[in-house]
Amino acid sequence: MNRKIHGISVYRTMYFLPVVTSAVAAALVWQMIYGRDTGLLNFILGKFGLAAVCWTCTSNALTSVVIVNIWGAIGEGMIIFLAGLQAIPRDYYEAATVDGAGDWQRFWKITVPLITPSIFFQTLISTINAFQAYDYIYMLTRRGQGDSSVPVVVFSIYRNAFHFRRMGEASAQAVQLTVIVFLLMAFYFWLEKRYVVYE
Amino acid sequence: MSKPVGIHTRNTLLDGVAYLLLSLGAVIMVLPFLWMVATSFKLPADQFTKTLIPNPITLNNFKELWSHLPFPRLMWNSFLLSVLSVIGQLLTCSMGAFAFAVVRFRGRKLLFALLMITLMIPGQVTLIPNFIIFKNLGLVGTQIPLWLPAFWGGAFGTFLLRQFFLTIPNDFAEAARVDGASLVQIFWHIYLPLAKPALAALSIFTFQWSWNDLLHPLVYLPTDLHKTTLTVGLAFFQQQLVQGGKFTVLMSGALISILPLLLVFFFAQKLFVEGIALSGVKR
Repeated sequence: MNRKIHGISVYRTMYFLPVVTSAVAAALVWQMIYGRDTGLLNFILGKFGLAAVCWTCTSNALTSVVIVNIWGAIGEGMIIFLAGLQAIPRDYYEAATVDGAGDWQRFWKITVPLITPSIFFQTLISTINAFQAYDYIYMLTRRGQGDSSVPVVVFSIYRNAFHFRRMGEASAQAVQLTVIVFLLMAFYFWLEKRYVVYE
Repeated sequence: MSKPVGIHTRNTLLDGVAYLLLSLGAVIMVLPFLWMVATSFKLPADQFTKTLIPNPITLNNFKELWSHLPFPRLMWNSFLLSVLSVIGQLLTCSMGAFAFAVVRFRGRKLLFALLMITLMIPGQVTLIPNFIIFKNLGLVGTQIPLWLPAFWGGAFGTFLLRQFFLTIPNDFAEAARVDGASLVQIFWHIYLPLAKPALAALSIFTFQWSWNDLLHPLVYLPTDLHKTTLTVGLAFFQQQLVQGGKFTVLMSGALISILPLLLVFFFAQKLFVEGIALSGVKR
């Protein structure tokens, strides 16, 4: 994405489109795409001679939701990395080329170390977002009784609190979630101290 | 002389591969949108046909939408709540950011660290205590819990604006101080005008989050179709229409719901991108 190719801005726009779209609207289309007998995805698979898959059945629902989540978040990650890449001075690459470094070496010795802040930030954000995942799960996998075929923590908190009115239990889950997220964050910051390069 | 030529040919090949991969990815990214548009103009009988250009093209779905949902009302609710949230965030985050970036006071670092910690707590964790507070205040079932919290500031907005304020040279504030300007004047006449791009980015983000939010309206206004937002309306509609087999109407609703943000995005694409980059790279 950082390469100078013709029409690159059009590509960037396309990749960024899902980021501005509401998860609700996007999930409605994905529901059509994932349809078992009528869906677009199974139709395309069928063209390649593959068997139809039940995308929103319990066994596949997690994968399906993850695919939509990635689709929705890829644009934001792209921007973070793009900004990181563009902040690397061109001189570094030129100097390395003069010193006889190849493409491979330049990538590992210049690009990767200098982009570690972006990698760190993106990992942090993605983790927090993943723990908060709710909208796609609600829209794609909800069943009767406030149940879901992909029961993530947040969904369970919502269900306990607002479906069964068990506020105490839901709060306890929320506290556990906070502790888990904090432990993960502490681990990330420990990694940051060791590996992330700031100029 | 042979070396630059070698690099050049290899780059063309690489460019070709890059084009191919990018195009493939772009198709996957955009196809759901094309499918949404296509389906919303199809006849209900054609809803599962696998063509991108509807034949015949019909506008009936958009008309039918109005008979199922109080659509203008839902749009207005979403719009109103989003605008109120933007006002609240701009007002409080800019003041907080100014204090953290410019004003020197005791405990500044500690307070800022505490604020950053709240950034890492998933929003759903505070959902229940907030709900109980609003319930005790008798405000559940009104729109107030959906915009009032925006007036309590926010970690992200404060962080974003602080980062931007820090890039403004200190000399400006000091020169103004020497001339006898108060902190309020410095804030209002120097920092706010210079921070217009960051303020615009924060407005766009806040509007987007508020407009797309599903969880909070679902908690505070689950069934009242006259007070709730477009997202809840569509989710409600989903249950009704999928069983009725009317994906075409559903898609036209989804399309209308994303149009306002798409328009903002096309006109202010640079601000979106710069805002995200600003929050991610400079520290």
